[in-house]
Amino acid sequence: MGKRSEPLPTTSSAPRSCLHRNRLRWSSGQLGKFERWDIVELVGPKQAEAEPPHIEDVWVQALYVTGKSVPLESRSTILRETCVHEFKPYFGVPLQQTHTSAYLRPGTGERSLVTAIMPSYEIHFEASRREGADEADVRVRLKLPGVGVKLLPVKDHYLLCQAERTAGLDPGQLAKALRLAVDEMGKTVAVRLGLSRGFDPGRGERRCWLMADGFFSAEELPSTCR
Amino acid sequence: MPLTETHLTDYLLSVMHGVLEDLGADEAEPLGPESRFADVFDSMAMVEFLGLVADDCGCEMSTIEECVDQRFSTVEHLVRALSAAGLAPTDHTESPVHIAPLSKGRVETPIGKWKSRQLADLESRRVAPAATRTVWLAGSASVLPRTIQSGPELDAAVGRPTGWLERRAGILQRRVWGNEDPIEAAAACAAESMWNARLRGDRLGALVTVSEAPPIGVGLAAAIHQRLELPKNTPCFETGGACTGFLSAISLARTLVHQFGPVLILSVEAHSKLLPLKIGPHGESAALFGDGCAAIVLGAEPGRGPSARLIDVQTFADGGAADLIRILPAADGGFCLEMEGVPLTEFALHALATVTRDMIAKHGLSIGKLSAIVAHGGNGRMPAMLARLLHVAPAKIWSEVRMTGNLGSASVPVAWSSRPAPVSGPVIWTAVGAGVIWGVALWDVQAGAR
Repeated sequence: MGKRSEPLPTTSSAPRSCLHRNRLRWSSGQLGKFERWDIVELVGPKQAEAEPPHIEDVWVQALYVTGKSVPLESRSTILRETCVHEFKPYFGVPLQQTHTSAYLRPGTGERSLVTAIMPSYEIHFEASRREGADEADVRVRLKLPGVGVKLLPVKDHYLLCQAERTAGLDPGQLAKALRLAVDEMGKTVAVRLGLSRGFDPGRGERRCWLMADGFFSAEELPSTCR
Repeated sequence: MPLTETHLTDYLLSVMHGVLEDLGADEAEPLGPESRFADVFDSMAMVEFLGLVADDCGCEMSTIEECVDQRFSTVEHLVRALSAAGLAPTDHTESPVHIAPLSKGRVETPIGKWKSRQLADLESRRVAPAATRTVWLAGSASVLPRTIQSGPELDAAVGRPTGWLERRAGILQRRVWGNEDPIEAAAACAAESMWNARLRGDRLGALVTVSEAPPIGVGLAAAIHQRLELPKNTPCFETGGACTGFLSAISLARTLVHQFGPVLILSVEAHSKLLPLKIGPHGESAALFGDGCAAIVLGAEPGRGPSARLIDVQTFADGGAADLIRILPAADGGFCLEMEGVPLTEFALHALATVTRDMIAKHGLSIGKLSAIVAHGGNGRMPAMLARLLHVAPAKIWSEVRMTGNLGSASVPVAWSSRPAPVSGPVIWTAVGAGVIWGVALWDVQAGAR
C-alpha cells in the first residue's frame, strides 16, 4: 500500500463537472470507466522521479479494468494503512498554515496521502460561486488534530459528480447533497487528505495545498486512527 | 457606530491585498470596488479571504455566503450585502464579541443585536450548566526562590562544558529553594494572591494544592492551610497531574467554587530537593527543572480588582504515551527522570498546538484574536517552537522557562503572574506533562487584569 496511480490530466488544471462534459479537462474515458474501489492493472508502471511529498507517484502508460473490485472486508485495511497515529504530523513534517488552509513546500514531507477518521457530524460542506468562474468552489470544514479547523477544497470527484447529479449546479443545493451523501456513510467517516502538486500563483513560490481527496465510510475502523 | 460602505470597501480591499500577499499570488490588475472576485482570486484565495472576513466579523463563513446567496460578484456587491446584513469587522466597532459578557445596559445597534444573537447561540450550545457556571480568576501571585543557579554552574554540576545546557535546552539559569522554606514561601504566595483578590481567609471556600515535586512527602495542603490560619472547616485538597496539574486543579476548582465558595489554587514545586544534579543522563534531566510557586483565586464573582472570566477548561490523558517520560525511584532514595527527547518534544508541541487550536475554534475565535498564549515550557526552546507551530509572534507565547527552568505545575501560573503588562481579550493557558496528560484553559481577560 501507499502507492497511487492517477489518470493523467490533459492540462494542469483540476477537473470537475459531470453535467457539463464539454468543460472536462481530463479524458472522459479515464474518468468514466472506473468505479470507486475498482482494481485496475497498471500498464508499464515506472517509478516516477518524485519530488517530496509526492513520493507515492508511479507513472503508467494505461490503466486496464480488471472487472474486479476490492472486497468489502479489505477496504478498511487499505484505509487504515494510511492513517497517521497519535500526534505525528500527517505528512511527516508539520504543515505550514494559512488562515483557512495548510500546505507544504515542495521538497519537504514524507508522503502526500493520508487518512483521517472523524465523526460525520464534524464534516461540514460549503459551496459558493464566483461569478465568471468555471465552477462552484466546494469546500469542506474539517477539524484536524494537530492542524486545527481548516476549510479544504473538495477533490472527491466521485462524490462531487454524485452530488451534481442530484442537486444540479446550485452551490447551496450542492453543499446539502454532499452533506447528505456523507451522512449516509454512517457515523464515522474516513477522509482521505492529500497534497496538491506544487502550485505557484505568481511570485515564484510553489506550495502543495492540503485537499480533501475522498470520503469513505469508516464504521469498522479503529478509534486509534485520528 | 456601524461602518460606512466606504470604510467597509477599504477594509475588504485591504484584506484582499493581504490574502494575495500571504498566498504569494500576483495582483492581475489594481483592486477596486468594481473588481470581480473571479478575476482576482482562485478558489483557494477566495476561501482564505472569506475566512478572514468571517473571523473579523465574528461570524461563520456560511453567514457571509448566505448574504450574497452563495454568489460572489464584485467587491461593491459584497459591501452592499454585508451592510444590509449588519455585518462588519468587530475591530472597527467594539471589543471582541465572542466571549465578552452581555451587558444589560448596552445600546442595541443593528450590529449589537446581531452580536447578541451570536452570543446567545454560543451560550445555548454550551452544555453541563452546573460545571460551566461563570468562574472568575480574581487574583494571582507567584514567588520564585532567591537562589539562582547559572547555566555554567549547572553545566559544571552535570559534567558538561560551559554553554551546554543553553545550547541543548535553551535554559540560561534556574531557581532553587536552597535554604529557604518552600512551605513558608508558598504560604506567602497564597496570601498575596488572596490579597490581590481582596479575599479574607475566613471567606475562602476551599484550598487546592498542586505539586509534582512537593517539598514535603505528605500533608502539603494541610501545611499550607495551617500557615494561612484558615478555619478548620475550610476543606483542602491535594492534586498531582505533573506539569498539567494546575490546569487539572482549575478544572476541579471550577465545580468546587459553586459548592464551597472562592477556591485558592496553589502550586509549589521543589524539584531540586528530589532530583539531584549529577553526572549522567539522570542528572542532566534534573538540571532542566527549577523550583517555584504560584497561586490563583477562583470565585463565582469577579474580584474587586480587574478579573478574568474562565470560558472553558479541558484536560486530556493518554497513558499509552507514558514511556515518553519515565519517573523512576533512584538508589539514593530520590527520583530520576528518563525522557525520550525528540519524540517527547514532538508529542508535547503537537498536544499544546492542537488543544489551543481546538479550544479557540470551539469558541469561534482565531489565533490572531488571542492576547497571549501562556504555555508550559518543558525546556527553553519549546515556547519559540510552539510560536512557529501556531504561526504567532514569539512574544505572544508567555513562558519564563529560560530564566527559571521547568517549573512543573507552577510553570503556567508563574508565567502568567510574572508579566506586569496588562492585557485584555482572550488568553489561552496550556500545558503538557508526564502521564501523558495535557490541557488547555480559555480566559476572557478584562483590560488591566491582575
